Amino acid sequence: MKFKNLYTFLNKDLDVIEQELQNVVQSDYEMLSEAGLDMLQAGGKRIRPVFVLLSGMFGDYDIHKIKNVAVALEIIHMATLVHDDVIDDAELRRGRPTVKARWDNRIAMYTGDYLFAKSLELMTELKDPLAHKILSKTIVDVVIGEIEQLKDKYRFEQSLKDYLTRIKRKTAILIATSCQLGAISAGTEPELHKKLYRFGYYVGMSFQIIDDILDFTSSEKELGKPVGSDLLQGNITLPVLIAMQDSSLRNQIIKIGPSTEPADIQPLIRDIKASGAIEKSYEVSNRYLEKAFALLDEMPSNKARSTMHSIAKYIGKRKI
Amino acid sequence: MISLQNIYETIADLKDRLNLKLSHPYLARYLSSPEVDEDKLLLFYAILDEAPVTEEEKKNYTITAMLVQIALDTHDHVTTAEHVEKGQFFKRQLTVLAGDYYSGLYYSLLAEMNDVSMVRTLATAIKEINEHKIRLYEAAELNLEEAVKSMIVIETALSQHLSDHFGIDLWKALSKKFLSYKILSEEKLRMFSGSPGIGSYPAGRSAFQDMEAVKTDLIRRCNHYFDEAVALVERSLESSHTMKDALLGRLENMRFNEDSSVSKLAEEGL
Repeated sequence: MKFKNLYTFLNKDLDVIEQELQNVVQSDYEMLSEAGLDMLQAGGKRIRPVFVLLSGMFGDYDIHKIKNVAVALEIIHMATLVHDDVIDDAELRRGRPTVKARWDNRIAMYTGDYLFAKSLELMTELKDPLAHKILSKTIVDVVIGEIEQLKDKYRFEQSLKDYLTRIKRKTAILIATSCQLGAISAGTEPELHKKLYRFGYYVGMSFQIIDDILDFTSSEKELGKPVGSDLLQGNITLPVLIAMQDSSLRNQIIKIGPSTEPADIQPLIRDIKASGAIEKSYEVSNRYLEKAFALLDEMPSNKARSTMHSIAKYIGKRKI
Repeated sequence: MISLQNIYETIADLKDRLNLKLSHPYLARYLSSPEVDEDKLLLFYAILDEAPVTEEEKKNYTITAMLVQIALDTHDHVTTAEHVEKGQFFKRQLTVLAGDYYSGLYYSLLAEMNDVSMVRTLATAIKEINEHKIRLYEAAELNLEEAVKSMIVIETALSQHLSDHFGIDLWKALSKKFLSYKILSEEKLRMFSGSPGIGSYPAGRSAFQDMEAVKTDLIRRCNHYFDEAVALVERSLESSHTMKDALLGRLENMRFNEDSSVSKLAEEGL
């Protein structure tokens, strides 16, 4: 089943979001509109807007109000990607040339800053100060997470806690915040929007762990980059941390450095896959999902809740 | 109005608070400290000094506007070379994140102040600044008039939107004249010393072939903005000698620096 088929009842509202995204990236300056529209056309799961809408259904749901939060969060994500491509020196994203590849790094910086400002402008349609406290803290945490990621590259002595903190900041908190802000903008009670934050956090942790697993188990074609790219770039992910518990694998892994070539690590990738590290990583992901499901059980029963359950389940099993 | 003895103390205090906000141990290990434009710090504070807010809020808003300025300036330092050595590449990566971090701090500070409307005001200014940065940097065809307009928007949008937010017309006009002169004076220096400037941003830009004409035009504009800035400061700050003296002092200083550097370059035949 495709991800999008899990929430077909949202299609009409997601069309509103898509239209609004297109309106928001328009600028008087043609180049900016072109870059924004190109990124939108490249697609993406729109997982953040979906969680905003679903969480909003636990309260007083009004698409015309909630759409601002959904669009703002997706634009923040887009702005982050434009800057990430400069950090990673990436030429392609979802098969299309990145802004930095099509123009240059400087244009990518200005485009990202422009998009970020657009998103904040839109967010101010929501007047609740709490929402802005949550989102601004999230944004700072996401950047700190990225700084930590650079700091932790090729640092093989890092702990599981270091990894979990990093993926929390890198991925989980923006999904968690999407859920919480969706709920806040629909006027839910604090107890419920805090629960939805935790649900989003658990799902986000699982999502990133699966992403890290797929870097080993998918094909180059599916990934759009060589298998094991994370490890090659010095990003120590969960499968690697687990594999390093085996001293023989550890001795091979710690030799990897910035000058290691992709072909050099192919046998090691096979050994990591055969070590049971992938299965153990799935177990960690599943533990997060179990916590997410348990939280859903405490929430009012409605269509949003069952859809969130299906999405979480899908995330745990996704192949790409 | 700010009193003479307090101006420099206030600016020093604001700078300390700002530096504290900007400090991040890992960024500080690899990147130089962000440059704080004290003229903008003074002008932002002067705008806020007229606003109906508490002393603490004045300082917080000033720091917030400076965080935005520094975040945007930081991204101007992201290099574009395709192949750079490892250390330079790492610095580039951190420079991207440093700018993002400072942007996050500005939003966070305003969120803590519960001021959603100021988030919007500054976001609108940031949008405008980046549109003009792209225009100036990327447009294949841009005439001098448009280039100067973009430079002035980039330099003044924050002070203009900040003034509008509180309806402070006097400082809106003063900051515009002052900062317009400042940026044109800096541009004149860049151009006369042969450094990259408005005439040299994009490869293949067809405009500005006649650099001598551009230089003449810049001299004329600098003279014009200097005279206008001085006249406005003298006319509008009659009752505030301290601010008047501080701004006139800075304008004269910039003018002296501009004249002496350009004469020196001319003598050296550059």
